[in-house]
Order: sequence, then C-alpha cells, then structure tokens
Amino acid sequence: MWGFKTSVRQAMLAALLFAAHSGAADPHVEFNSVSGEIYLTKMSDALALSVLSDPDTVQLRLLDSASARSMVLTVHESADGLKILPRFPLREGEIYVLLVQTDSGVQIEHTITIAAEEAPIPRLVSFSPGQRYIPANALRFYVTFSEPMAKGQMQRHIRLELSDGSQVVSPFLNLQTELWDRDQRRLTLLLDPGRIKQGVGPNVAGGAPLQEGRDYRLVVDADMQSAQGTPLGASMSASFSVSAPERRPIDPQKWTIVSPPAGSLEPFFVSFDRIMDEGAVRRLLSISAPSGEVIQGTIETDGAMWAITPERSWQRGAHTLVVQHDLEDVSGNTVRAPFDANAGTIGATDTAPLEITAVIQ
Amino acid sequence: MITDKSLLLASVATLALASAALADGAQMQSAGALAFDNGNVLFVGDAKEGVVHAFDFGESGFDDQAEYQLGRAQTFEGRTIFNGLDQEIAALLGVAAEDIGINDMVVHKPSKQIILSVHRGLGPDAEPVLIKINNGAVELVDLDTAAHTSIGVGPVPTEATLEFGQPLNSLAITDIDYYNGEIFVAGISNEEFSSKLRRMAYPFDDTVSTSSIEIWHAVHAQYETRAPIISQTITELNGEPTLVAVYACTPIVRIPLADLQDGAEVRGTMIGEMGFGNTPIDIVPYVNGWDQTSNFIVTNTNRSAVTLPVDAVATAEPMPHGDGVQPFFAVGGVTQYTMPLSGTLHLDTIDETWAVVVRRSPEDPRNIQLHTLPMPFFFDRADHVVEMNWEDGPDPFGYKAAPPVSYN
Repeated sequence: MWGFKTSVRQAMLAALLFAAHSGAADPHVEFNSVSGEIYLTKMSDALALSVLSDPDTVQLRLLDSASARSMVLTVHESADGLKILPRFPLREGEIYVLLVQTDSGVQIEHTITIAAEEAPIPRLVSFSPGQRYIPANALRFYVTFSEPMAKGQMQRHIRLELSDGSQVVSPFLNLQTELWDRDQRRLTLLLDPGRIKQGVGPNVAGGAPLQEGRDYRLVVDADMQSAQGTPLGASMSASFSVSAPERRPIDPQKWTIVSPPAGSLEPFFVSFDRIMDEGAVRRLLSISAPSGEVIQGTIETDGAMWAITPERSWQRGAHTLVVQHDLEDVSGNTVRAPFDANAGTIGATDTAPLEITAVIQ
Repeated sequence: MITDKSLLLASVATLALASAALADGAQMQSAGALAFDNGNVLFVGDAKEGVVHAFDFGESGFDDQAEYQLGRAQTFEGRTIFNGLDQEIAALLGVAAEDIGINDMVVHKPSKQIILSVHRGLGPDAEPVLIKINNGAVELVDLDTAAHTSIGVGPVPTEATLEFGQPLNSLAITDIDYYNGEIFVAGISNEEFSSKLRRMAYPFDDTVSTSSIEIWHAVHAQYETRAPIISQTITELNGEPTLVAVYACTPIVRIPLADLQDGAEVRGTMIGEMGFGNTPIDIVPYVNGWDQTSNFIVTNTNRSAVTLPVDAVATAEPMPHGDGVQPFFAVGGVTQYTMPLSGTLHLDTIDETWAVVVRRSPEDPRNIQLHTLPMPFFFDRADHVVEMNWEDGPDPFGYKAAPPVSYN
C-alpha cells in the first residue's frame, strides 16, 4: 500500500516533534460519520491558531492518492478545538489520511476509514427485445440491471458473440456518452447504424452486425460493476436468433386490436405485426376516451404487444388509439418512413399523430 | 445508547451540512456539454435534469490567466499543464481517479480560463462539479457567485409517468453552441433515432424551437436516414448564419439557421464525408494566424483530427445523391486536411495562438493530460519522432538554439 514507509517516518517525526513541545497533549481526531465533520481536539492553542490562520496546513486525501493535492475543505473553530468540513462527503470503503503540517513539520497524521455497507451484487434482469427472433437490422438493445450501474464500462464489459463464442467486432456505435436512464439501471446499446444502413461503407465492408439465420448472445462480463463498485461476479448473457430484416414503415392498419367490453376493467390489447421498440411504444402510444380524455392505467408491453388496464372501467363508444409519429420499431422504422428511406422521401409526411378508432361496446 | 442530546447534536450537524451542500451548485443534477456566450455566461448541459443551465458570472467571475505561459509557439512547443489530470481533479474531490468522469471542456476566452465539467462518481448519484484551471492549479468553480437560470430541453417527467417511477427516456446533450443571443442544443435520445435540434433565446424565455433535420447520406447510394448530430458550430457563410454539423457516421452538413423554425422538417445539405468507422467528437472554429483564414477543426474517436477551411465549407457543392449514384465509402466532398492530433478527448481554442486539449498522452494512453498545442497546425514537436528533436540531427529552423522553455 502507498506511503506505508512515509507514514511511519512521518509518525516518528511527529512523535519527536511532540516530545520536543513539552506539555503539548496528543491532538485527538474524531470523524463524525453522521455529519461528515472531522473534529480536532486536545491540540495546543498555538497549533489551533496556526491552522486557523492558514487552512492549507490541513490536508485530507485518499491514502493511495497519486496526487499530493488535498480535497477541498474548510476549517472552523469549534467548542474545544477545530472542526474540519470536507466539501464533499468522504466515500464509503475508502481510507483517508488527515495531515496537519506546519512549518515545523507534521503535527497530526491520522487515518480515517469509512466503512462500506455491503452492496448488493448486480444482476442483468432483462434484455430487450426479449423475443426469440430479432430482425437482422435491429437498431437498439436495452439491457436492464437490478442495481444502478457505474458509467464508462460499456466498451470494456459488454460484447456481442455468435453462439460459437466468436466475437462480433464493433457492433455498437462508438459514442463518447453512454445512453443510460436516470437511475442508471437501463442502458441503451445502439447498434452501429453505419453497419445497418444498406449500401454504406461499414455495411458493405463489415456486413450488418446481425446476420439472418444465426444465433447470438449479448454478454455482460463478470467485471461489470454497480455504481457502488460491486461486480456482477459471473458473466451473464441473453441469447437470441436473427430473422429477416424489417424494412417497411410502421403501418398501424396491420395491428390487431382486441377491445374490452364496456363497463369492464379488462385490458385494451394491441398485437403488432413486428417488434416495436419497447421504450418508444410505452411512451408514444396512448388511448383516449370518447370525451378525448387520455385513459390512465397500467401499461404492459414486450414490444410485440401493448396492453393497457384502465384505472376506471371502459365507457361505451369510439375510443382513439393515438400513435405519435416518432414511434419506432426495433429496426428504427417509423410511421413516417422506413429506416432506409428512398432519397427525397423523408420529411414529406405530416408529423401529426396517427389516430385509429376503436369502438368499445 | 443514543441520548437525546447527542441525537439532537447529530441532527443539527446533518442539517448544517445539507444546507451547506444546497447552497453550493445544487442547481445541477449532472454536468455535461459546456459553452460560453461571448461574455461571462456559461451554459451547462444537464442531461439528468433535462435542462441547460446558464450561470452568469459577471465581469469579475473569472481569473485572468494572461501571465500563465502556454508554451512556445515559435519552436512548436506546447505545455503539459497537467499529467494525470484525472488524478489531480480526483484528489480535489477526494475520490479515486477511476471514480470521476471528465465530460467536457470550454475556455472562457476573455480570461483564457479553462473550465471542465466533471462528475464525482460514476453512479446515478454522481455529484456534478465545474473545475477551473487557475494559473496551473485545479480549483472548484464557485457557482454561488453566478446568477442562475435554466431551460428544459429534454423529456420532462409528467405526473402520469412519475406514478410509475422515473421515465426511462432521456436526452444525452452532445453539444451546445451560442450564436447571436441564442443557444442551439444537439442531443441523442436513448429511445429515438433522430436529429432534433433545439433552439432558444438567451436570456431564456421558456420558448424552445425544435426542428427535425434530415440529411442525405452520400455514402448511401440509394437510401437516406435520419441520424443524430454529434457536434456543431455556427458561423456566417456567404453572409448567412449557418449551422455546420458533424454526424455519428460521419457526414458534414450545412443548414441555414433561418431554416431552423419550430416544428420544421429541415433537409440539411451534406457537403462532405469523413469516412466510416469513426465518430466525431468536436467541431471548433479557429483562425489561422499565419494566413488569417477561418477554419474548423474536427476531432475524431478513431481518426486523426481534420481541418476544413470555412471558405470551402461555404462554397462546397452538395454531395451527389439519388438514382445512379454509386456508394461512397471514403473521405470526400469538402476539402479536409489531416491534423496531427490523436487521442484527443476534448478540444477548445484559448486564443489566436493556442488550443488546449484533454488527451491521452501519446507515450502512455493511461496518462490523461491537459496540454496546449500551438495553432494553426495543432502540432507539438515533442509529441512526434522528428529528426530535429535528435541531439545530432539537423536544426534548419534553429529550434535547438532556443533555450529550453522555463515556465513561471
């Protein structure tokens, strides 16, 4: 461990110094884990004054810090000594060194160990699309973990393999930023659009990352860590097979709608003709009552179907299924255009939501 | 056993700490893309909250860095302001270097002060901070000294979505640019593959114009695709304010600002292709001090940086598209010159002579450096195996005659 020798040397030096100051008591250091404050007591008035007049005499850093720089802190007078207030909370599982060093040498050196609560081991809890077969031009995967995860690990710890264990090279778009949800449980993996778009260099040279008729698995390796620094411990994977690419725009006329009976609390059910983007469909599909009021309820979807169980029983009459034009399937096709559109056709369509009437009787 | 007294004391201490924390920068939930207006207003992209913050620091908000020597341009010698920049910032924040993220960098041009957006921690509770480089030292930016406003740009949780927990969709803000009283915000959604550019006036008036931009991809002989903008800059081309944008895979596109109206479906003009297998990072304008030409530099993940003359961007013909066009896989279109930069993570210009980069050291990629580079070539002699650097090598420009640079 860093600085062991240095620490011993400095401790001895400190002991000598204190011995030279006859009558000086050993300063006492106490960390209050609730307030995050550090109290220095039983120190000589001279030392306390010296520290107060020059707070740079106080250094607080990680035991194994590569830098000699102290973390940001302020020093305050307290009832029986000094109070040190770190600008940021000390982190669990770390060992800090508090050093008070005046012109005459090291006056205090004290380690503060911050206990870590045992953090749960993260697990991969879902992979979307969750279907057995995924179209060869799929654009987006979602992986969801049981715990909030640490950013910055995607390139190192997530890979796509063929069922024989050979790795698919660079399947994902190399972005500087990772696309997590706010809780950092769900990560969006964008397959490199350059390899999916037909006729593009990467597509022609490297082929699409997913080949029709083959079996794949997405692997999250054992070292992928939660936000609390706990690794998965064992690699986890999700397997799927690849079917023909889906290159048609979304056409809601091809959906199958099962309307519930009026007066019931049964779900209103839509079965798609393809796999929709699960995130987008949850957000961009809704149903309105004959009054125009949006139906509130619990939505269930696996991308292949969408169902809403209402909070209040269904009214009789013409309801409207509202499809926002940004709705995408897993291959990035929208209501307005396929992912690969013929030149000059994108942007021609109206951007108003599509409305489909469903009569509830 | 906890006595009433100690419990009371502990509570008071916690309250004091909480209020202290609130007073300092609590406006931000995350800190990503950075931009300045032409003065002292710093814009910070906050993807987690789905807003752009504006911090107005006023005239005295930045420390003048004129005395800090940035290197010696005459002999093509940049200055390493920090080796282990991540370690220095981590020490200031009291965490290990692997527990911080350096998200963006911008230079306050009037003072030449370098500002970095940093996360303390890698989890969803990471604390966002702004770091400034003050005459060679890393320091925290005190946000309490700034007047704060913000405007929503990302998905906003509604009561209905909150009922089932936080919504999962978010917008990663990839770039913010200021131009003539407005900011332009580009981002990538985690649930939607599109290019929506948000435009809003500053000071904020709560009005956000959103345009969807479609581009022709020259590399697709037959097809075109919507795609997200990664980085952009705004400049006058032939007297017309124009957005110049670089995309994920990797067209260069020209869009007149006048086209970016709320709800508009805009078709950008693709004027160049930077070659596949690469993602651009930043596009930054600069003036070549040697010939006074205006240029853009584009940094890349998997390729060297390139520069594009502004004149060439202004006059470039749209790349051919439509029936009969063959697929196009290489670098093409508008004139591009390769620049000797690689391993660049963030880049900005400091003044007419100097640029600054956060980069992986050419000698040790584990070493994150804050390093200056003399313009217009962004070339540091020490980074390269150059005959002139050898002790018994030729010295046609007299570099060796120059005494070693000693820094203040």
